[in-house]
Amino acid sequence: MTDLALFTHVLGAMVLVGGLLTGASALAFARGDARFLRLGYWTLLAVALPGFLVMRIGAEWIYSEQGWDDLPGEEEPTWLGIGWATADLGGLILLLSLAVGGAGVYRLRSGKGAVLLTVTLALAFVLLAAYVVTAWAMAGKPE
Amino acid sequence: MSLDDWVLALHVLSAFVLVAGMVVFWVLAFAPSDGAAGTIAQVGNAAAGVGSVGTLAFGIWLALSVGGYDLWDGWIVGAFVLWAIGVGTGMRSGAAFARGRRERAVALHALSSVAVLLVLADMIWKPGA
Repeated sequence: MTDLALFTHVLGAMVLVGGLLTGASALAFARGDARFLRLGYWTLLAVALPGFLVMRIGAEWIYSEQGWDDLPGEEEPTWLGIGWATADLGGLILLLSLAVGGAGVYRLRSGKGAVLLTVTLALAFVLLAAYVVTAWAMAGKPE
Repeated sequence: MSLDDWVLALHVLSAFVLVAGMVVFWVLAFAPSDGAAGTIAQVGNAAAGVGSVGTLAFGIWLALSVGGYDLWDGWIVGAFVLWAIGVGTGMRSGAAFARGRRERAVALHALSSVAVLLVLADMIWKPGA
């Protein structure tokens, strides 16, 4: 069961990173084209967010399967701490970027909203950088 | 972290970059083909290229360097075969996409994605190891 939990966790994380890269690319290269601004936003909502949820469910599953929840907090390894921090803080930033981007997409109807979607783009880049560091930490497991 | 730990981290990061490139093309399959699509496809091509070379190169390093694994282990040979299918069909998909043959491109991309998904499963379960 641990392998299935790990597969779920890694697959979700890969889809999350893929959704962030695609969404950020569409927002970055749209050059004001509303179709691609919407594509970027909807990619974050329909690809990155489900990826995040699957990754997070997989993380909880492994955590209980491997008995990490039985360890005192101070004995938790660094890589696990990095994983929790970026998953939880990253989830909040993802939700914030989706809320801001949702308002931006809504305002595209009246020809506005580009600034809000630029904020969403910036947050997506921050998340992308954070998750690259997280993937490195989870795989390399520094002390 | 030892050198092997660093190589493992780069191997996993390469896999993330490869799958990210594949996600780019899944989204583009349902997007307009004009405007920014070409530039976004370049991002996908770069990610898929870097990711596929990285997974293979760092994977070979790990198979040779980490004790208990050999290049001819069944699950590693299986990964090479699936990797070759995934990359080969992915490249054909990209060519079909560039020629505007979207249905063929999506079919090949689906095949490529299944192959890469099987590589991921193979890497985690390591059957026979």
